[in-house]
Amino acid sequence: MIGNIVRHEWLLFLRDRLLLITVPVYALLIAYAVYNGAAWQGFLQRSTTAALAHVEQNLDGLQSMLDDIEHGKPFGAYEDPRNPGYFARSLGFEMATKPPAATAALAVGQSDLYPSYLKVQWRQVFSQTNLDETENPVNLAAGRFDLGYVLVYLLPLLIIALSYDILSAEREGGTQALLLSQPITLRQFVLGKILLRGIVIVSIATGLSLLGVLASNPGIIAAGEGWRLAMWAAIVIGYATFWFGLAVLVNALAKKSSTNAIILMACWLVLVLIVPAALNMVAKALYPLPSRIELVQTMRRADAQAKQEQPASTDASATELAARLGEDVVVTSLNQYNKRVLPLEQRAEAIAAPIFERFETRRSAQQAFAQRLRFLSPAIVVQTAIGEIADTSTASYDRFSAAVRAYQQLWRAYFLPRVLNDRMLTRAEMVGIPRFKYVPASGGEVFRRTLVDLLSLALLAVVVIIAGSLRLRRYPVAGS
Amino acid sequence: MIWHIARKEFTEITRDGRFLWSSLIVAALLLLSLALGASRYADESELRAAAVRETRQQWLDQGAKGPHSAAHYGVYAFKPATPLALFDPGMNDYTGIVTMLEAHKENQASYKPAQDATALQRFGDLSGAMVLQLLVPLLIVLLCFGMISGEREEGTLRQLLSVGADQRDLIWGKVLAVAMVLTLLLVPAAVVGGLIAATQLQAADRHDLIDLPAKTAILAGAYLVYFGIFIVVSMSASILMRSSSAALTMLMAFWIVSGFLLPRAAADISRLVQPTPSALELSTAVARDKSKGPHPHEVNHPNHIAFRDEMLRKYGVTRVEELPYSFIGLALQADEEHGFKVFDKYYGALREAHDRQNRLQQLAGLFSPYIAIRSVSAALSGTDIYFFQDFAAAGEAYRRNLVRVMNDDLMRRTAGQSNYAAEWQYRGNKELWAKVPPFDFDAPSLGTILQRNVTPLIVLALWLVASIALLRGLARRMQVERQ
Repeated sequence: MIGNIVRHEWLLFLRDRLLLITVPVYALLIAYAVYNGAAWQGFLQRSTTAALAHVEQNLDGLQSMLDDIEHGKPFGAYEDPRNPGYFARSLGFEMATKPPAATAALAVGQSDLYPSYLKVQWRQVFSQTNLDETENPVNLAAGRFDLGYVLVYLLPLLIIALSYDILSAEREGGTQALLLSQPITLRQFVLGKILLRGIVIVSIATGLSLLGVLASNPGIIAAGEGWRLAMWAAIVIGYATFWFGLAVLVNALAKKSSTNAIILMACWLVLVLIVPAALNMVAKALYPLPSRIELVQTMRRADAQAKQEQPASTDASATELAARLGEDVVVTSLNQYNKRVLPLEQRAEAIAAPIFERFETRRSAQQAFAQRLRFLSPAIVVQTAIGEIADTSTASYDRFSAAVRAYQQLWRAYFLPRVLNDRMLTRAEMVGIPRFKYVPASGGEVFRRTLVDLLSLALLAVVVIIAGSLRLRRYPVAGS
Repeated sequence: MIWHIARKEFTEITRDGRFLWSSLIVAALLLLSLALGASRYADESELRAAAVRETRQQWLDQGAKGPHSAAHYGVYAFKPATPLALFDPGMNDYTGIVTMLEAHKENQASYKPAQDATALQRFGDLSGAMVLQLLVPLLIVLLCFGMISGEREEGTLRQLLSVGADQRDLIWGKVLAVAMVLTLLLVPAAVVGGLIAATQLQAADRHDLIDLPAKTAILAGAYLVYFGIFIVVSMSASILMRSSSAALTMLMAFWIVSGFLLPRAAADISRLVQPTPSALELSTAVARDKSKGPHPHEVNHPNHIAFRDEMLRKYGVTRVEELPYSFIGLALQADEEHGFKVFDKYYGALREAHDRQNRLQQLAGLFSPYIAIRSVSAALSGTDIYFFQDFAAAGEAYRRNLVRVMNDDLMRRTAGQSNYAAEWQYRGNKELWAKVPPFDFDAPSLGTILQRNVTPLIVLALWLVASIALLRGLARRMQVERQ
């Protein structure tokens, strides 16, 4: 019987002008979003690769300078790559990069807001020149036209447009009583209508996206990341089911078509726009972060304090040095400077550390709060889950920046003893600098977290479906 | 006649429970967002004022050190905000708030607040501007969609016209009623919002208050035009469409396309048309061009030698110690001037690229009044990208003066000394530091803002004029039944 309804609806579907416009437009938007995501993934891939090449190029340059020096070419103190302090602070650097995951095209997420490569030198990452992307703030504020957007915002709108009047239209058209005189229950009828719409919409969304993502990145399956695509598709289905369920529930209230449309739009507005924005506001109010302005000033104060703690520099030797001329003076003074300043900077950071730790603690508390309350809106659940699947979530970038901070300690530990003991770097040491590698969250971890999201979507969907189906029992079939 | 119709409609709307609830929610959201905006603004401006004083004091009290070391020590500039920012945060969450002004580098402002927020930030901010730009139009749509089509469906339109009501009066009366209802809702909210904002005025820096009353007035006017567009468009749809339900569908689609689809699509297209280099490409290009400068500290570098020889020739001497100014001072300043050109070239190109992207998006306002009002509102509230660029430009001009004053002193005071002695032995003092004035920044004037927003202002006016013309035409030719 349901098969008959689906077939009948399919015929109606093909004759509906509105649908013949909206569905192809929807498909077009998805195709564009996939293209956009893939292009952005390509950009991230190219720029992280270029960042690593930049490191190699720099090291090559420094080694050829070393060759020159060994062959007796004259050089200045500021050109000597063997000087460990100067190398660690200025000449040498590592680019810590976060290459895009194979699934990055699924969601731009936070990858346009946070840098995917950072220059690591001696200086604290916090006080370094930033390598934020050159993105126009207007565009950042507007957000990307990616699959995440099409899914979270537009998919529910299309579902609403297609199903706000599945029952009310029959009522208003006067065909309802006739229809239900057939050997068919109201629930079968609704199921038939919804199934058809659901199959069309979900298969366009998942089919087109997966096709596009696989075409732009054929290695996903071979890399064993196919499950991520499956999880993504499951999330799409869960989200769509929730909205279809909601549409049925609203239809079951037996109101006018226009009232249904208003109620559903209000749900969309609340769940997609107001709840996330309000939660963001509450999170900020409950866990206010110390301002970055305060952190900047804290660092300055700590610098001054560290300097005061240190015994005054030996001005006598500097005067003596100044009496002589020549480059060796500069070399000595540079070494003295680094020997004094590097520990000084570490001391200043230690002084400022409690404020920075408070900032990080507050920030984690804010993030955790938002994470816990995401279940208030399926839109937030979906956004979080696809960010995890694409490795472009805030959590991914937090992970990256924690890894960069840890790596920087390695960088410092590598050079500091050499600076303090007045030892020049050897060629082997220059080549043997530890490298940075970003390790994304393990597949198991992502799977567990996204499974929670999927189950919560399923739960929400089941709740609205049960409510809708209970309500349908009391649906006034005739007249009113 | 119009007045009678308006009064009748007004009473009807205000007695409708649905209107009461939805407008209460909108008003509550508006007041809540204004109050939170005000508290955020107050916290930030207090902190900023303290930080501005502290960074100045740190600069003055940095103690005896070489002028070049002082230039490296530098000062911080903190991006200010006008009190209207509490109403419309605009791009503020996506622009840096602190710029380090120091020797050698034109640093870009750091710490976009969105980077420290949760991912929820990307769903948008609940601000006064968001309520007025997105929620109030939706309220208007809900008020208007059935106004004519409903009368037609219930058969009352024929009655009304048969008793001699002029159809134009009927339509404009209804428009007036909706305008009155909105006034009832928004005027109290505006008064409360104004009071909230007024509490911020005493504490505010006078540089942030430039043209504030005029900016506020124009802002209010722009929003009136924006609401007017939605009233007239909604009324037109109610006449034009077959049924209330069709009118509602069409208006919802308009609201979604204008407020959600087009802003993103326009941003995306502007990026395609006018791409920007990656941060890495930009920084490598800057570094590459900067290294064509005189390399003041690298005595064996060919550029250094060339610059030294040029100076020796210029002043007709044979040793750097005989130059009338210290060589290191000359070289540092020459290196800075070379840097200025490099920064102007690359960062200037980036600013122009952003500018072209913005102009393109402003044109997209022809299809979306939301894009036009967003641009005008952020500009008048001092939270648009141009306010940010003005701030960045002021910071860079300040930095250039700072390094010039430092290098100038070094050049003159250490003439005849070796490079080492000049850089590491000579010490400047507070008198020198005080030669650099404190950093201040004037918010752009109303004239500048209007000039930058000619396109969105014209677009808003066009929308209003075109929609009124449409409604007039429809009012004249309206039929009782739609074929």
